[in-house]
Amino acid sequence: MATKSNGTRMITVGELSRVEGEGALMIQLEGERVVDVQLRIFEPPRLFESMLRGRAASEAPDITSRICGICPVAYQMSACHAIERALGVHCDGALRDLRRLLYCGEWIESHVLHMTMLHAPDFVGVPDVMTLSERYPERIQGALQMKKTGNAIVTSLGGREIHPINVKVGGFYRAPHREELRRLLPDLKAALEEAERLLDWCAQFDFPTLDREVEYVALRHPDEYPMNEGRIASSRGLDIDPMDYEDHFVEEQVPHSTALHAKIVGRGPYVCGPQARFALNAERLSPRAKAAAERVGLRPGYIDPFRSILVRGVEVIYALDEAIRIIEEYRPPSASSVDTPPRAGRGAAATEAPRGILYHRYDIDPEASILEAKIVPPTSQNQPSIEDDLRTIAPTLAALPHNDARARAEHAIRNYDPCISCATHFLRLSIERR
Amino acid sequence: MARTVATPCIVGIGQRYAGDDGVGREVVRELSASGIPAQGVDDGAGLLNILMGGAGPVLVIDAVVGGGKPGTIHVLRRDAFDAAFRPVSSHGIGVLEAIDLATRFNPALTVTVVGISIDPPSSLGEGLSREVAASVTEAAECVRALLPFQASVMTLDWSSGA
Repeated sequence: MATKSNGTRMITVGELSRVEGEGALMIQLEGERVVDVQLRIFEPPRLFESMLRGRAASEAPDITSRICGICPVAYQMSACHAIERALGVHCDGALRDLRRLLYCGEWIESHVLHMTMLHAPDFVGVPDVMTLSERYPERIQGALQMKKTGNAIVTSLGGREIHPINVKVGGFYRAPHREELRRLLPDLKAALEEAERLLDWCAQFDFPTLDREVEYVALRHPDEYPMNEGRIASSRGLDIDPMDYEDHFVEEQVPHSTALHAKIVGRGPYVCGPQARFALNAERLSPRAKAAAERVGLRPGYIDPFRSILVRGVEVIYALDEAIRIIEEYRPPSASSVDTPPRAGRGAAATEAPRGILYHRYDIDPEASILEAKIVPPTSQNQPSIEDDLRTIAPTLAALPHNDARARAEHAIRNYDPCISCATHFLRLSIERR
Repeated sequence: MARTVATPCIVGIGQRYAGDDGVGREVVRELSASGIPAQGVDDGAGLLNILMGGAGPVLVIDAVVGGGKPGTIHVLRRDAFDAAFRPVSSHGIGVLEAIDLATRFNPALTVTVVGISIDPPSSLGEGLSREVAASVTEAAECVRALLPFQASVMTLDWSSGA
């Protein structure tokens, strides 16, 4: 902590660890009054938007999957759906189920990694997962096994563990045989039991509290907990086709960050991700996931962001449950993909990345080359809400010693599992006090 | 005493759209072109997936910050990282965390790192700098030279000083 000659006190915290990347955070306080909160982030997807111009639309799923090593499936799925919409084609039946199964694999991998390796250390009060693994070896070992199970789904469908190469616009290059998928069932069922234990372990944490008004935004589908498809809905009545996203959401440049801040037109910040999905879709969870949510005290409505780890735990249970269901009912499709004849058009789609809505829009020419691309990652959408959360807890931070303030601020940011490879780089935190 | 010789798993780490950070993948490309099986991942989380896949020797190729001018090649022990080298990772689960976590639960795992010095990446973009690109062939040679060594003394952990 440093005191400036003008009476301002500054706390410099250095790089934020255990977030998917790095960025910078500045909190300025006058007594307990918050003067300013700035989360500074760098946003690679904007570079990818320009990189995509002139490329074949069929390349978009592979190129955009490189934006993030944690959620490549989300980028592939949003790209595929958006381009298919532009081309006027649609995947259904077994192809649709396989995409959903692939997404289950990514949710399992990403959520388990965040819960146990990045977020749980905040609650236990240890610096990192290595220290956590010394205290709770059975939980971390179990988590690694669960993550491996998610990897196995992605490998079986995507052709390899990261950056699946089997996904294409129109479906897959090759559809798996029934037996290939059924081999995953024993591990998935064992992982489901472990997921229940992980959730119950997390439910025993001592949760800080944060209570404020928020608007949740998530996909909503009439029949299922959303992953690949659905309308974009909000807790305050928004209900739109993803093609209309840009009429209802605006991205604003802020001076302190290269990332754009997404807001609802005429209303302001919103929250996307597990809390929003659960708040808007809890009744569409499987019976087992629904029971788990009730057991740990989650109810639709406002969900304290410090309890987002519990929602992720419920979604892991759901993803495992759903993966088992899809595999047990799977019958290989007659063709591994649908035809995608080129044509000019515009297509937009949103899918539910582990961290929230991932929006893609493509304008393509008659030869199906990309004229313009737009990508809005979930972390950009949550960034204004993360700042609002920090404003809300800033008086608490002001009263804490430097190290505790840093830990609580980082914890609050990690509530959103921000993916800095998607939206930020180099996070350093400073708190100015006057 | 006779010893079972295992084929090392070779993993190159790097993000191909993040400039010199992608050098590990370029070395993998060169090795693969010469018939040596190797795979690329973006980050520590991807490496963790592979390390959790089995035991045996693993040879990791990654960009490192520190350790001399860009393009300098090092064969590193685990403890060398804390002092002089910082693996380049834009993710919460870094390369070292992935290795430490995997070896904690799988002590039979042995990992050797071939590090290639780069300047800290400041922007995204395709392609390597001239200095780092010039080191790719040498790094691939270094990996080839390590292969019989790695396979025949597979119980050695964190070999150093190529």
